[in-house]
Amino acid sequence: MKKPTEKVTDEILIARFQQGDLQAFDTLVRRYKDQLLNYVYRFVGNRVDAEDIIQETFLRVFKNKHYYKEIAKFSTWVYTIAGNLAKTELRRRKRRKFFSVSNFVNDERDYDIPDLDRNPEQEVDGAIKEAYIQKAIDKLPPKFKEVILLRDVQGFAYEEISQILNIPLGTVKSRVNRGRLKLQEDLKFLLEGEIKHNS
Amino acid sequence: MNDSDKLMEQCSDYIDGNLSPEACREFEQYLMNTPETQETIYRMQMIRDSLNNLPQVQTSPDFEIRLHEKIRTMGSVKSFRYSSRYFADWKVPAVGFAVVFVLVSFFVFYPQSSGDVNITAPRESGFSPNFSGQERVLMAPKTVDAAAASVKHPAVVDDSTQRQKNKDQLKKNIKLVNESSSGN
Repeated sequence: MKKPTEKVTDEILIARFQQGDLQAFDTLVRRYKDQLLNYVYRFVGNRVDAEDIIQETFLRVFKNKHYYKEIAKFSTWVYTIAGNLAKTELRRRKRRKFFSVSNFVNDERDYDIPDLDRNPEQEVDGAIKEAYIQKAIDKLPPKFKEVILLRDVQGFAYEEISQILNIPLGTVKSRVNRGRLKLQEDLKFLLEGEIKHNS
Repeated sequence: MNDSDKLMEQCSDYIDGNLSPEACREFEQYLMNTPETQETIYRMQMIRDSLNNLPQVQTSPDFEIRLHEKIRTMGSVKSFRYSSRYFADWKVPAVGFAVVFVLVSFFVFYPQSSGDVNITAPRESGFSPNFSGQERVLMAPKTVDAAAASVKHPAVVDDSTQRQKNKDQLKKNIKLVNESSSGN
């Protein structure tokens, strides 16, 4: 996901906000709320929880604005906060053993996941496919999940991911590779069906 | 880690186009020799494309309104927490104790100092002139203000004759004292 070029950079806006310009804060909220929601929503798998986490993220930005230093990009800072809150939520929900497929689609229908042993050649609805992909993402360990989401869903470069997560560049590449390998293994049935369908 | 493992580590770099030309050629040669790896690479590319094309979600229409409300609530909660913490802090009891101490000290020590300010009438002695009661009253003002006023405006309404009388009385007293001492 490419970030649109803006006339006023994020760093200028946060500097204005640090000096008391609340409209600059509102601009930053409008600029980042949806992309942060996409990241956290895919991370925790629940739309309501994801919005609460994004609200808390911006609350922390508001309270701790003076802690931001222009050493790193604002996007790095805000994604770090959101990611940490998402991981905290996952740790808190570790005892929960259920999830709802309906959380992964935008409409109100409930979905039953077909038996994985069934014929993979059957056509799958785009929403069902999305649910399977989300289920596979949920199965990933958090350290693989976060790099996969930042790289393949949010479109960040490896260097940016390294700064957001504060891990070496080589580690980012290694985790992206292993995350993709794990996903393609879990979604083999789905992808083989698409391959046959396309051929 | 053997060579195949090292090459598998390069799968994502190959998919993302991050390999050097030489490394890319080496990897493609490896792919030609391992069909399973080719399938893996193809599935990884599909996974990457599927993730990139996942439906984008948007925040609810009242997202910013709720955020502003939370910010306002946060400010009021913060001030309440600050005030309750302020009263529980050591500074307020200390200030209160200091105020009480000052007040008590004022009321304890002030009556004694006001007593020190008062000018009492001089004690009578044998050497003191034997003034009449009226003169004693006139000579011993009760307050400082009165004493100051007597300097400017003497309470003794006397003329030179009264002063002369006082001098005569003084001489008599001195004479009496001398006679009594010579008699001893």
